[in-house]
Amino acid sequence: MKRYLAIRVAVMPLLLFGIASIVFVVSRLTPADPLVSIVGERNLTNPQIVAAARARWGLNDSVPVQYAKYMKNLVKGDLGTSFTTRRPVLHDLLDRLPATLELTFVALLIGVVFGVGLGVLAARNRNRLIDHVARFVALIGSSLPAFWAGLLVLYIFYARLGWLPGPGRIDPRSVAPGHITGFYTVDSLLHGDWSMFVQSVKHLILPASVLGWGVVGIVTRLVRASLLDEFSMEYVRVARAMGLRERTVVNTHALRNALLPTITIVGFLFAFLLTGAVLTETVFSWPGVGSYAVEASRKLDYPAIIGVTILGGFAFLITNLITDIAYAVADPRIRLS
Amino acid sequence: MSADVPGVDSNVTAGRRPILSVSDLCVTFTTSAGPARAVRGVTFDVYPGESVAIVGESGSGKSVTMMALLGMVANADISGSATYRGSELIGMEVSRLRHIRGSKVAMIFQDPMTSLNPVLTIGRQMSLVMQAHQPDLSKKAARTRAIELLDQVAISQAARRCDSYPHELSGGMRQRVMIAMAISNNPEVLIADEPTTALDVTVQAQIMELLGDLRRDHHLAMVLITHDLGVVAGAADRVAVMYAGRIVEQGAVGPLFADPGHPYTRGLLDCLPRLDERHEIRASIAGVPASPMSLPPGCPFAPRCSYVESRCSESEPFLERHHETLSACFVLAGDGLAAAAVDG
Ligand SMILES: Nc1ncnc2c1ncn2[C@@H]1O[C@H](COP(=O)(O)OP(=O)(O)OP(=O)(O)O)[C@@H](O)[C@H]1O
Ligand SMILES: [Mg+2]
Repeated sequence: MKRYLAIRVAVMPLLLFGIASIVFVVSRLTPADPLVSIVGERNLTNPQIVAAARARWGLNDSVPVQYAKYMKNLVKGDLGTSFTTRRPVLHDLLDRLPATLELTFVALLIGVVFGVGLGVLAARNRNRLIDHVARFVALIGSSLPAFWAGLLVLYIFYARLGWLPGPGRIDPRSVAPGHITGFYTVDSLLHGDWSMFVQSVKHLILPASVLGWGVVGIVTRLVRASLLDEFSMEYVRVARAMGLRERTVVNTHALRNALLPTITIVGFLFAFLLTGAVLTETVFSWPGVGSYAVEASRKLDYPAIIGVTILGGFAFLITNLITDIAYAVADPRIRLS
Repeated sequence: MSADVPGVDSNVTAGRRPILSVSDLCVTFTTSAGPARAVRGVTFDVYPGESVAIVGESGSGKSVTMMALLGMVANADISGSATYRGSELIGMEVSRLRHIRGSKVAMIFQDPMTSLNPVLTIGRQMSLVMQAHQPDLSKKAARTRAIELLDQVAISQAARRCDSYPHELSGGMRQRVMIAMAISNNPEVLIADEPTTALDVTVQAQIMELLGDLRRDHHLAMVLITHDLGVVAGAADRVAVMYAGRIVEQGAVGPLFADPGHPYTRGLLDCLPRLDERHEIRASIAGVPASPMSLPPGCPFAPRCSYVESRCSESEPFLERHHETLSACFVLAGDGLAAAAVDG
């Protein structure tokens, strides 16, 4: 197992290299001209400005030369400079990453907690009313468009009821907690700023619920199905025959096993949520990587687009690795092999 | 009534009540293809400390009978009665029944490979069983007791094994763990449902020996379910032979082996000498076992029986005295042959 993980880590740079190459090529294949976003529509007719921009951004080089340069810089950890923000893409991404990760983690937590809860409820009341209700609630989450759901909850809980704050990570007039991890919830606690913590949690609730609800359906279905599988297992029958409480039979015996398949898809869920974060961040004006990506594609900001994609690929590889490790820890049969 | 039952040692029964008393138990499954009459009027008693074997081919209803009395059969109509020390088990709410399962009446199953939870340690699973019936038992005390029990079932390095997972143990060791778990709450009755069928022949003997030792040491009553009449000889006091959901012959081991009153029992015994391999019984009696979905009108064994007469397909025979056993056969039992009574 250790050997296997070591190999996995060793091939990660190669995979990232491949991802970067593909995105680079694909982005150069698009017919649109990035000059528009660099110099602006008006200056496009001014040959001097255009020539200067071409020279400055290296667009005079042939594509293979551009590719070689990009890769050389990439190895050094340089993702290039954004056309629009005029800052190193890496800095932009690192600034925005904590916002996205915080949102995604909370969404994942919500998705898994509610998904497992509803799945257990559904399985224990198989084919009864509770089962149908639980599955319906879960299903709504996966079928409502995040955009629409986001606007709806903003309308209800912010505009109408005023229970929760509107878009953004914090209130417009507040000052973000001093940067330590970039997670506002964590940083505010580290600074001992309780009211800031409460504020950032309140801001997280709506976007994280909208995002997380999308995976509740997936988790519910999976947990219900694998729990029903476990219920037909001999060891469950034995546990009942030994006089264990039904609660113990379900929560301690069956659920342990039923959660194994769920652990295997956590990586997939995380990737799913990262993708979903693009829309959610846009609706909730969340200053994360998702909204950055939307901006970048709108402006044909190639360095930013490629940077986001590489980051996404990296995140995916990491989560898969963590998933494998988590699975091994949870399943003693794998741990030892 | 117990005095009439041939084969029950009067020393055992004298002044004693059965711990487990099953009477006219019927289990009918509702299946999509119609009702399946898996158990049809089974009656037997188990007295403190004795060992009763239930023998029969696959599908004869042995497991369902025992599962039904522990309330572990779903999707079925259950009628008749099964009492543990006088309290009726059939229809008892699960919340009360739970206190009997594993605590007074414990059961071990055929396949030790699947009977244990793969993701919990042996010790943890044993603790769960103990704590189900002794809620005040601390974690530490449960562990100490688990090690003690593993020691008792002859598992070496018990303390280390306590932290092992099931997949680290051999089949025989897992069955020992199951047995340790079953006796962990000091039950009075141990139901062993084909405890050795899934094991190697050499291990089978060890497990049977262990069960015998425990039975003696703990004064356990045992119900041993098996395919194999060969196992029965050394391990049981009495035998009930089941066929198609009924007990077709019942008696003490000696007389039943020496002078069986039912052609089916004779068939089972006839294949014994050749029975060096498992699963041989079925192959040795000609024909297929009767299906609980479509039973013939008369004696369910008639289609396979070499003693068959015309009356056999008219009505079903009930248990009657045949020498020293009770047999449900028109031809061999109840013909006035049974003049000699055991306890007469
Ligand atoms: N849940 C169920 N639904 C329908 N029929 C069932 C169900 N469980 C058992 N049966 C039927 O009841 C009959 C008796 O089964 P049982 O398991 O008691 O047999 P057995 O004597 O223990 O056999 P084996 O030696 O194979 O364990 C079988 O014909 C079986 O098909
Ligand atoms: Mg069985």
